[in-house]
Amino acid sequence: MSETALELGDVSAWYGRSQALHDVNLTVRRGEVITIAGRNGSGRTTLFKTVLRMMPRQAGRVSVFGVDVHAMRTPQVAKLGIGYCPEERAIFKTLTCDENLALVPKLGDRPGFSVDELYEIFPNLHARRRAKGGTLSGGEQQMLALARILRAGAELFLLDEISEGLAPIIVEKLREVVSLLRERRATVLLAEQNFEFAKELSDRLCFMDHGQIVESIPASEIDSRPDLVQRFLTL
Amino acid sequence: MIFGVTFQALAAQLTVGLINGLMYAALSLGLSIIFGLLHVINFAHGTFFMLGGLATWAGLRYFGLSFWPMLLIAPLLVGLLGVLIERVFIRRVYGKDYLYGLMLTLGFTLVIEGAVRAFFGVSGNAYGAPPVRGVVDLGFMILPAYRAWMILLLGALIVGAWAIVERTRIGSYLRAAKEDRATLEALGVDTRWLFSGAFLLGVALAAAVGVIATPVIQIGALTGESFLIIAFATVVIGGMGSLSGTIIVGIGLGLIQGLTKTFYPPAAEVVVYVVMMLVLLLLPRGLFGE
Repeated sequence: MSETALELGDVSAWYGRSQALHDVNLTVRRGEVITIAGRNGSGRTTLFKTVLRMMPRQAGRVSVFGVDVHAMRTPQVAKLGIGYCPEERAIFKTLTCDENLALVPKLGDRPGFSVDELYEIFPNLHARRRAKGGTLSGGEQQMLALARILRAGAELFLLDEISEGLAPIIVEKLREVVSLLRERRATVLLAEQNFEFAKELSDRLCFMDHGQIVESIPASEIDSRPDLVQRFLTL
Repeated sequence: MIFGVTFQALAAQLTVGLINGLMYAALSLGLSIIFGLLHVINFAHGTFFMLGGLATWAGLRYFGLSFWPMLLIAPLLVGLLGVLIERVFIRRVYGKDYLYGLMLTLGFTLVIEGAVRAFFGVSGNAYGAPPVRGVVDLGFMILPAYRAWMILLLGALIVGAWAIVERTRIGSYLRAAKEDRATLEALGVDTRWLFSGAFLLGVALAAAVGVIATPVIQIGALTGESFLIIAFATVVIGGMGSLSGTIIVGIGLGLIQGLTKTFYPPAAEVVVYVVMMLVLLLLPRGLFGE
């Protein structure tokens, strides 16, 4: 069993003729929680999409749990054990809460959370289990987007801006969930602008700028490096 | 008397209108499923309807197969032909402008119609005696028993297709793929088989309606065209891709046609298009469009 959850070697990606990632190198060990920090447009979402082979054009080497994914289609890559929570939540609005949860197939070898466990973690969703996704509040939609990949038994979580625009009480709930994943030794990549939310949960922080990973430091060192926050996160 | 028309005459026309409306609804449902998920305007839909009917007629004439087994065999055969066309040709126009899908399926219509014309001639073929004989006395009219069966068969077809899409796990995948295919794939669901499945469902529905209609119409190479135009009108008025809208509008158009035949017969053939023009002017997305 590969001890490396994710490895990117000289990865580049393009939207049409515009290059969004430039020779990105990154190694993520199993059980590690990493925050990819950066401003809007720095390439964090593109990085996640490139891992899942969702980009129209990409180059370089991506391997997930030791498997080279260059010849795979997106669903095959996801089935290696990737749980993806997109930035825009992307829950299915015409499907009920229950249907959204039942939709995702088994991803990876890890036993997923049962529906009952998920409704225990997210009691708000239980109350709205028969409601259509489109009628849920922003916070509920985010919980549902997270719950559906927890149910699938994913081992590598790509969580894109999960705390964005949510009430503090919801953010606290999401923090609990990511902590739970940490305890279970899941591998997590967080793309976050909410730096306070991310830094306490992470082992390592990678800063992205203009489609490149420009700095990578242990999370314990961040308080002694305010210059990084100033350079790569402050507007 | 209602506006100079007897109740019996009105009720009889409405009953015939209901049967036609159910036929429009069931046929349009397939078109709506294909458009809603694949975003392809399937101009060959009427041709698949015709092939279902022709297979039923040919099954009886050449193989001695009666109506009832053909009700299963014909939609299956035509559905598989549809999947072959989808896998080999139509998948190449996914994501492109609607015109590509329309032109491609129009091409298939011309090829298939030409082949049918070459083998079976231009004139329509009569099925002969309907599979159910006898009459049903409704009080206000004597309805041929097969027409009553048509109500049951078409109703079951519509409810069945609606239930597959709205109430099953496969249906939830279809609806999710319709909403956001990229996200569904990122969650590990291979949507290629879903697209083929949706095409199979839509085409098989068209063929099944063709089978059911065959005992009461003349089936020939061009039979599908007139039905296709009404099916398009139904989907457009209902709102492209809205299944409930398609069902309601299909039945409604049949009833409106029935009423028009009662009160002003010369307008019966054009009333559907007048309704379509009015709806498009007032509600460009249709009555139930998203």
